[in-house]
Amino acid sequence: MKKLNMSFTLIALLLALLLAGCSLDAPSDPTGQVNDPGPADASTPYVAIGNSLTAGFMDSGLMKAGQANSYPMIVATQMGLNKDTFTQPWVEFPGIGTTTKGIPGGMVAGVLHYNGSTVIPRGLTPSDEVAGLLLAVTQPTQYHNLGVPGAFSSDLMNAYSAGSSYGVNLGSPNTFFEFINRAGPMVGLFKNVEVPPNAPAPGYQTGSQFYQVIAKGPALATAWIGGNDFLFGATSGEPIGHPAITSAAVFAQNYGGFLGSLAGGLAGRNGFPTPIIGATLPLVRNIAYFLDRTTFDAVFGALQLTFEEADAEYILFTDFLGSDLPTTPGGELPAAMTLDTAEVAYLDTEVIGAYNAAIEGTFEMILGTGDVDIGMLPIVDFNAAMDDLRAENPGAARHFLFHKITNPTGSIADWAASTYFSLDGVHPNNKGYAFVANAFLEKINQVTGSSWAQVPVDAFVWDPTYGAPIPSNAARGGITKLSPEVVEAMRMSYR
Amino acid sequence: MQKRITCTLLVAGLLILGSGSALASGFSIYEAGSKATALGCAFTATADDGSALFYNAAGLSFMTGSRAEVNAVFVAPQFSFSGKLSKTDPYTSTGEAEDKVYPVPGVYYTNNPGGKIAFGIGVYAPFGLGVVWENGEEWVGRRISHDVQIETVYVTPALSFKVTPELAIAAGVDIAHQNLNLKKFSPEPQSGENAIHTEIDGSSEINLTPSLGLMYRPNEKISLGVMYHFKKTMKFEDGDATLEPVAPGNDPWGDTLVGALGKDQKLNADLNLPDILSLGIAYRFSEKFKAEFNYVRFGWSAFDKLSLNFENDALDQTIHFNYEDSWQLRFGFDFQASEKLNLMAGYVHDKSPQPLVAVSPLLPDSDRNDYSIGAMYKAGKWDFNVSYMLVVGDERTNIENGEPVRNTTDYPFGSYKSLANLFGVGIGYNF
Repeated sequence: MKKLNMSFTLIALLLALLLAGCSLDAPSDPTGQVNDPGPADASTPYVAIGNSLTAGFMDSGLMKAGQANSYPMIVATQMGLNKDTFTQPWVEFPGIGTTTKGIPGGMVAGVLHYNGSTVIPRGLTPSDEVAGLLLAVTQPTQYHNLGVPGAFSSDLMNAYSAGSSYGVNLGSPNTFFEFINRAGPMVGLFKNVEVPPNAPAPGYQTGSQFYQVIAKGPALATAWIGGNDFLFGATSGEPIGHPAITSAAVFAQNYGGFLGSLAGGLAGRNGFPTPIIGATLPLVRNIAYFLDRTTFDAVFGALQLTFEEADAEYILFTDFLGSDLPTTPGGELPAAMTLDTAEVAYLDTEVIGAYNAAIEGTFEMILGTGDVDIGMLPIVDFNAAMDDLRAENPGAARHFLFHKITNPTGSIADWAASTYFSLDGVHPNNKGYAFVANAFLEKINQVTGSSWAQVPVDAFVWDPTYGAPIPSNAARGGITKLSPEVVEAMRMSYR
Repeated sequence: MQKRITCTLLVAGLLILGSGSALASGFSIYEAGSKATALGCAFTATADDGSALFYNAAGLSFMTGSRAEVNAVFVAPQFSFSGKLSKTDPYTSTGEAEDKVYPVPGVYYTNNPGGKIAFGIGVYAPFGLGVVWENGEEWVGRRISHDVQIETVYVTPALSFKVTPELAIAAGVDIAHQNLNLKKFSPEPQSGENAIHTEIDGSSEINLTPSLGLMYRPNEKISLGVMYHFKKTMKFEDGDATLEPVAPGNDPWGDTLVGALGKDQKLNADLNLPDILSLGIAYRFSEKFKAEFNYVRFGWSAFDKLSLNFENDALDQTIHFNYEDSWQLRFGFDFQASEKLNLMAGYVHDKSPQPLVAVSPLLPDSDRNDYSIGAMYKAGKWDFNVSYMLVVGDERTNIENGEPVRNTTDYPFGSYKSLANLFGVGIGYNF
């Protein structure tokens, strides 16, 4: 019996030992064995960051027809992506436009169109139904096209709603942030990126464009930023000292801060240095909103007009068409309708030239290249591209209504095919965006070693009528009178 | 009196029915009795208690009189993980399965009146799985599974026929029922946040297949045994699938998808269970010491996939497992310490049927080594068993040539470890 008790004691002891000893450790972290991630491992191939130019804004509004031709959509299509794999915040007809004056109360104007005699909104939507135009409301966020019309450089890091947008400082909060920056809560998803402390409850208003692009973790990002930091000042005709022009020093700070954070954030998120393609800004006088003095004199010389700014070099073309001057021989163009020598120099050098220098300098600093030719950098030089385009095809940078005047026997299709700009004179049309996309594709191929094909620009056809019925006697050349409201909408097209 | 004891034992046994957890490779549970567990379940050539209904029903012919027996093997499995969701995931995540104890039953009645025929009936649970990951909502593998439970109960009545004094053959019917419960999260595709929680819950139809046994004891020293249980296809009809938006009203993606797909669904599925073959030899080295070796083969290639057919075809899904046939080597040692006390030990090498590509949060399987000890104490008509088994799974890493074997954003990659403590008790009454 004693022997038995001993045996039991032994067994019990053994059991107790085993019970105490047999628990599981966490396995050692094996993830160091894994090859470094590369672009193929990124969660998404491509994301575009920017403003209206990136969103596919066209004819003073955001609508699916323009969005389908946004340069990021064209680039993505050439990369083999489609509308499901490259998402945009699609907006239904008649779009969300910028015309506010002269619109009945409680209504929001759509995109502008040419109706055979003038330019007016293509349709109106009751304000409380505007949200319903956002076709992608049930579409997962964040969008791959993170172009927010009206975004300033300071919005990139900070804005996630109308109330947090830079537009608040200018008296017009930017509601496009409400539509586009509507990602779900990112808390806990990327522990190194905090949602801004004042972020409201989950819903439409969440992360800024910066947070959203980090959340996406793309293998490739393009960023075309800065146009709105001078556009409103430039289209006022009196840019010097204009409150809506961001100083070059502040722009450099915003741009450098954003791009540095983006490069670091994406590298951390993806585990590999992620290519980011930037772009310079064209001199604003080169866009169709402005008409050079020599050409203006050649076309409108018979009117014997005088200039308040005697040394006016550029005329705000749509402002001119919105005034009585085209039918008032001997009239005078006010200072607000022209850019004089000092204003052109200010914009060229102190604003846009300085912005472009900041863009170039930021890339040189981040990549550690030192001072090199811009062609060596991952920057699309749209400033140079616009100069080249004007030299090779001057009509491409002139307004649809200019072609209507100078080619009076032509058709609507002829005038539309002659320009790369949409009716607002600021944003490209289908051809223009194809031109922009080709420039990005060329640079993407250079930077990433890919060989995505470019697109035939002439195959991109813009219809400024948006399918509106045109009276048979309407398609004639000559001067088109624009209403002051429409001119205002074109000027305000950042909003 | 005898009847009452038998009934009490059987009722006690039935009360512990109905749970399971993987502790042999795949999701087999080879521990049908406490004594067998102590012997590393190398029991096909011995099969001298009620668990013979599983290990080899031909053993019934070499038992005498009637016997009622209740066993409970308490299985405490542990799983842990360390890895990442994808190569671009900047953070390494770890995970652990919740500490749970699953009681596995073994309730038997056997009768050998002494003639040519012996019979018995047993209730046991040869297949089961329970992996519940802690913090399911955050667990890095939650898109595959954060909670899986499979419970399988067999009721096997069998007859054994003594062909000669040395040879017996047996046949039985494995009457099986299975419960299946899977839970997982589906993410909103862009943000990766949990959007939909899905639970699948099903109860199979009753399935019947034969089982066979053979035992040959040419002399006092040697015993040879063969056991075979047939492959089964468990049919699930009208199972319930429940889809819930995780943040109703705050997540249009989840709301829209659940609205479109349907919140409550019926589903059908077939789940194959492998056939089991065991070949055993036992040798009595001395009056007091006996050893047994079993080679066990599982036809796990039957478990190639699980097709879930939902009411809404858009949800139909096939989970591929691609298991391969596998084998186990089982060794058992029985030492008679005294007239009343036997001390036992065992060792098992268990080859995983799971290919590396199928290693997942649902079941991170691996090759295992099991170590067992136990004791049996006889007191008159009663006997009492205690057993302990330690199951040590090899660490398994689903990375090959520097690449995750499954490079998707659903399956995490990294290393899994597993271990299980098994505690068995058994009470038998002979009459």
